[in-house]
Amino acid sequence: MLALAIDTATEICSIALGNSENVIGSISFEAGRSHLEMLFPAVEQLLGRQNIDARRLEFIAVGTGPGNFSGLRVGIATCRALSQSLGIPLQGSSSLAALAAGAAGSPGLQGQPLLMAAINARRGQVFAQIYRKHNRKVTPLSEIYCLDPGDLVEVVTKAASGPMVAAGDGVLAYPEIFYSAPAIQALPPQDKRHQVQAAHHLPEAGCKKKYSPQDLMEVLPEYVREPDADKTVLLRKRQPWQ
Amino acid sequence: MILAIETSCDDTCAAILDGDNLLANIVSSQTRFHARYGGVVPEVASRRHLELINLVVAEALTVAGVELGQIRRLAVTTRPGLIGALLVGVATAKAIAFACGAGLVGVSHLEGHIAANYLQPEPASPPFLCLIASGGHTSMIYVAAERDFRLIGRTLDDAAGEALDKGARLLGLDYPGGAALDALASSGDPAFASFPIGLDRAGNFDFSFSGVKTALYYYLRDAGAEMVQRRRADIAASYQKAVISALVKKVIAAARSLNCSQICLAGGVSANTVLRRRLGQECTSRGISLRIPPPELCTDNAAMIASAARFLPDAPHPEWLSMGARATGGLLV
Ligand SMILES: [Zn+2]
Repeated sequence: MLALAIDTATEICSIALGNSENVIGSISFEAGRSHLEMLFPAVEQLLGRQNIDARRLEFIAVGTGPGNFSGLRVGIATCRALSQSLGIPLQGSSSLAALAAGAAGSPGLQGQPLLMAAINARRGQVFAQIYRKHNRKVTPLSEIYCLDPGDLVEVVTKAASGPMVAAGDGVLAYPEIFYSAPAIQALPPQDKRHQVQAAHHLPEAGCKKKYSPQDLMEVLPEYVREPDADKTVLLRKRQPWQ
Repeated sequence: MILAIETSCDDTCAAILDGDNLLANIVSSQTRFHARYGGVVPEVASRRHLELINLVVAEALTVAGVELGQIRRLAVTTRPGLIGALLVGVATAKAIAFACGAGLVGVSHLEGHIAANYLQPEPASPPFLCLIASGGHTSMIYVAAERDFRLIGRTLDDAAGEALDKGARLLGLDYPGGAALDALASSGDPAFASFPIGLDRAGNFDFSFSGVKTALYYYLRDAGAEMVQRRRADIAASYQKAVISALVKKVIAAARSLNCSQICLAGGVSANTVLRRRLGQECTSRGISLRIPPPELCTDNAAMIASAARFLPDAPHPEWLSMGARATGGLLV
């Protein structure tokens, strides 16, 4: 089953093409705040490199965050529309789980089955979740936290039964906190596994998901935060000519 | 066959236009989701657009009796608007165009409002003077030809619809109060109180509505609750008259100075009964023809985006792949 997977939860976008057995190709790029402008050229490049027409795709997978709201909306709107117009199934899955699955491949993890995936939530906060690794899979052990990094370290230290490996741009945003916490063994700063890899969203072997317009509507971002009406400037479209 | 998508503010819209035939024009209004905040909250709007967009597109296809494979062009609003809302529409349009091998064209929301006048039942043809008045914009544009625009005037602060909504709110009506204000004012005396008309000078075609709103605020504060309660309809009528007078006076003056014999309306405020009546009278007595599209084409919709796309080329490959959205920007750019 030929699948396209996209993750736009962080500033580094990731796209992968593959099936349950192997990843045929992948691209990661620094999108900053330009997910809308940069996503499709990369999709075309990846498909073009493998000489694959969009109509040959059989499955779409997308990371649902949590993460950057605009980035997530670009990725999810793109994938929902691809699924709808190609008539192929869409699967949404956690970007934190994809991050944890990537970090679970770290060498030297045998004795440490616990992982923390952390994505920068801005406004001084981090989205994070604790996972347990067994065999090649990860399963969540906690809710998704949205906390400032100091509080997060305290909460996960209490919640977990032992030391844990930590990965993600949430870790990199607050190195002084995460690299000095005794219960946390953060991956080295230059480690690629701090980035969410879309390949971890690719469907598993034997996935029998069918196209359903109803399922497609339910694939939405994991916002975690409520829309903040008080702090949001109400609409004033002034001087639309400028 | 054009499939158009519009998500610039708080309505999720899709339409299908085949030549001159509007086959579907679907609008899913989010008004009730924003009512409790008393205005459009950008983050709430963006979330709702993403939830609704595929449903609205599917509905447009069903109503039109068209398969996605028959769509040869996608048209989408790229500016101006709420950036988070726009990008849902642009990402969706791009993906559909990519999957279907169709062309893609980015359209200005304002060009869309103007192009609503080219749709059936009574299509206008240039030259004409177009007044766009809604909760988000207030501009007068001279349309010399389909792609030849001249900005004659614009609001320097609030939009006309925004002024009506805010006045309604001050009078205790629920958001978005423009229509309720219109209804309340219909039984009131517009000469009861006098409110200022912004930039009321000969030869000035710009608008300003912040002064009239402030005047109402102080008027209500000083009048006292008992009087306000008793004369609410009269105050509403007087306030509405000041806002509408600014539009009527300036659009008529601009038409005369341009020697233009046709005025077209666009935007939600064109549903206002006083605007329709007074502008109608002024135009009749001056031999100017006035065209007002049906209400569903005046308020935000995707049919107008499809209509505007008819005069635009597809974005070239590979540039269309990196099409973005902008909060600002108007015609042509
Ligand atoms: Zn509008």
